[in-house]
Amino acid sequence: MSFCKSIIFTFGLVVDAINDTQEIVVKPLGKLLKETPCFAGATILGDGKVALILDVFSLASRAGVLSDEQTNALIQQEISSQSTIETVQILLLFEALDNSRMAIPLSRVVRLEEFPRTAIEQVGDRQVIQYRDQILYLVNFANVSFVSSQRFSAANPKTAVLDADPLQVVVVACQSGRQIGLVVQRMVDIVMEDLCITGEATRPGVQAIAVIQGQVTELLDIEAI
Amino acid sequence: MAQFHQFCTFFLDHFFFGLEVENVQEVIRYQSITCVPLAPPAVRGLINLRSQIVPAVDLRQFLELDQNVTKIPVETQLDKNSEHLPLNVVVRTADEVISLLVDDVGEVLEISDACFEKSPETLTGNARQLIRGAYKLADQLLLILDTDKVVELTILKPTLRN
Repeated sequence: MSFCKSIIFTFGLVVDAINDTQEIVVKPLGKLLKETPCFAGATILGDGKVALILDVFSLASRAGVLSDEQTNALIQQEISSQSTIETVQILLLFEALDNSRMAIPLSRVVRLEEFPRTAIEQVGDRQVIQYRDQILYLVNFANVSFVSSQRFSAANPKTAVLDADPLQVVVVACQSGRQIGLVVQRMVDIVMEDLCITGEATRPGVQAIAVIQGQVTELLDIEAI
Repeated sequence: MAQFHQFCTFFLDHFFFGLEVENVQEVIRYQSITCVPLAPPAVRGLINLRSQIVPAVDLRQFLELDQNVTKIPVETQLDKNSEHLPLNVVVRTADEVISLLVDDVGEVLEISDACFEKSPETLTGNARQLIRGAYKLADQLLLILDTDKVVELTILKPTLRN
């Protein structure tokens, strides 16, 4: 039994087994399954399998555990959220290693991963990581070389502390089907933003600049990276 | 001067179907499918296409073919090299990418428009909407599928259940 809590009430779901808790990236189900009730989206698990994300509210309302009042409130809430989704883009905000704020469309994000720094390998002038039987190219924006910093870590205790932290990587899908890993300092937020204040890009790989949550943020051009 | 078009061909039961190559993104072998409860019956589930989640559509549902042939195996009995597993023909429709489950794929054929004939008026049911017409080949007919209609019909008939 697992317990799902909403703002209004608590109820239980009877399940066969509980697997694990995981942070995931929810992807929309697409047009064919838009009318299918009870699911909020899907995600790809670490082993490549597709998992469905339950929509707890619609589940509750189908199961009849909600009062009419609660159902109506939910419908109202859904209508208002639907009307906003159509005009805005959902963005993942993060901080790059050089502490600049960046954003990419959430639809392009495959997974958020953490890797130990020892997993990074150097190939030519690029840093790569072995990921799900593939080689993932890492992009870090700040020209920071992890491999060399590792070598110096013994001499410099300050970087040694840094090296102990796992590497936060946003795995992103390119149009061509390839994947790249964006190395980030930390995830900031997921925002729904109507992008209106845009400025010209200042460096390659950046599509535009916009003010998000009151701070200037670079919107990345994934294809250019 | 007759124009030539290229078609990606595939087999479903004893039928021979074709799709314009421009609409076909790729053909891949069987992928494990995550079933979606309450989904339209023609949607067999979701597959992971290089980190993109794509619905897999079973055309047999629409064309009212024998359902028992493409029994999707239980994950434990899965042999990905088995010849009896359906293949995925991944197509781009007006709105999104979907995968069509087919028995086998044929060659890419280049055929003259002069061989094309529209579906006869007497054709009824789903086939009337899904099949745009046929190309007359030397020994058989190649049925041309309308993929946008596949999406449309899947959404329109969510209550159709066997």
